Amino acid sequence: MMKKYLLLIVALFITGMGTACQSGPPDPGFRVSTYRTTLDPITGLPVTFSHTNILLSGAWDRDIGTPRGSLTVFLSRNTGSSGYVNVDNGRAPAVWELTEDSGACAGQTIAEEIYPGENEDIYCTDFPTFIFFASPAFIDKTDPPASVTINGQGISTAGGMPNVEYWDSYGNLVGQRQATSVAGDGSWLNGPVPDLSNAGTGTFVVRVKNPDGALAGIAYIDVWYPYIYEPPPPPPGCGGEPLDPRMERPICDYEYSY
Amino acid sequence: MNKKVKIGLLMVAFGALASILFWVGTNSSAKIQVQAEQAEHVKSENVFARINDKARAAKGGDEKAVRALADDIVETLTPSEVPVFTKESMKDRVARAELNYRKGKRKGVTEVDAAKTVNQLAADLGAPDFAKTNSRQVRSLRVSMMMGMPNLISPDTPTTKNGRASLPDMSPAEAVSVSLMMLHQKMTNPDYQLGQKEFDDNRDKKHYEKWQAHRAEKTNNGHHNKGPVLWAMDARYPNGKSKNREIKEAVTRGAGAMKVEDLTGLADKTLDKLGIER
Repeated sequence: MMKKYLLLIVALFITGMGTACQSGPPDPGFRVSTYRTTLDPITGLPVTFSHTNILLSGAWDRDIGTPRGSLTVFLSRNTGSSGYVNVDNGRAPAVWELTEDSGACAGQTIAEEIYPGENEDIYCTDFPTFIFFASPAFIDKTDPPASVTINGQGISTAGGMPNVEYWDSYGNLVGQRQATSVAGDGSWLNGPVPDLSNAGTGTFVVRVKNPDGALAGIAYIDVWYPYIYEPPPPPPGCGGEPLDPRMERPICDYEYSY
Repeated sequence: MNKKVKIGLLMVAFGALASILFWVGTNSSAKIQVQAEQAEHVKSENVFARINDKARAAKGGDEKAVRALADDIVETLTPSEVPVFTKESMKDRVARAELNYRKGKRKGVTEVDAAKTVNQLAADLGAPDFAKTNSRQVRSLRVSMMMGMPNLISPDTPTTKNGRASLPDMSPAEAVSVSLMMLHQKMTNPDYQLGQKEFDDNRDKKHYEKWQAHRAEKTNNGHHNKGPVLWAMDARYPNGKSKNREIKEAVTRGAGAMKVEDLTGLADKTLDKLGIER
């Protein structure tokens, strides 16, 4: 008799542990995972990583199919060290309004379509105000766009039009053009792309300078010459050649020995 | 005591234990949550953005603003092992050199000087060969840092050589920032723990892959994958740990073998090499 009770206790314990440690999203219900995109403090490049220990709330908005689950609201649940919240018995498929209650995006809400048993990723983008975004962000040198739009803030037309500088990945100023139009609220500009035919390829830095010379913001554009190329063996003592044969690179001048 | 009573007591004891564990757990969780929120608050302040703000404020050459910039650069980017009195001395030297530079009383610092400084430090500490750098890697790092600290890495007046405009020499504050960041890359970032050929090949390869991914996304009728590629630090640098360990062990060994006076003078020697006046 004693053994039976002990076995029952052990079985209940194991079941409980198993439930606690389940890895997939619940169904009925769903999982919301939080991510954050920011600047890598080491390289200065944008990176995305799991956003842990964020307080998250959700409110059901409307069904988008035959719903399963009955929970329609959850408040300030912590995403913990794993960076997610399981919403057991959460009503889905449905549109939910998800709000981060802490962290860099505290107070911000997004509406997401969520399906039963699904993992829904939400991203908190936390860039300094001087980080702008170019569209298109990729330029094919054989088919460059006529113009580029740069989204940001604080772009000014006081005293003229802003200047847009294009710097290649080797730190050369390969061209600069004045914007042709700017949003009234300073949130974007549009302007021509300089002639990049003699520029190299790689990730270019685009700097937006207001007419007073102050730097308004900075964006990246990837420039590529889409020529699939197998690099030849390097000449003796001179290192390798770039994947793009048009990429400018000084020959043998980097074998410094200080 | 019969068996039923024993089992009953066992059940009660188990329940009590579970309750205690639950209570302790929730209280610990609450503490952990508060600590995590505090840590998050600290982490959410982007140090690059802060230094950039100070660089913008210092553009006019105001002494107070320049000193605030030098303080933050040294405080933030210098390894935590550097003693406080050494940091204070470094801050003063960098601030004075920066003020002189802005008054036109001294020249800028070249990328070659920055590379030589890093290489001297690597040699002094007995670091492995991949810790050495050159002016081209310094240039690449500067371009990367333009995004994070555009007002510090600020080519207001590009240098023109052979008809080509490019990044000018660095101000003392920029040179110290770039040199310290290069040290950081050599300690932690596999993309920089490479000789020049491997560095170039790696960069070209990554750019090529990025372009291919963009093309693949474009040909997929514009449908995006679910979210971007995630770059958790460990996943991003799967092969970097052994080099990180190698360089840390080498530096620890090298520092341990140095005389105390040489070790304490290392910061001054490093700034000397950069040409930052005493």
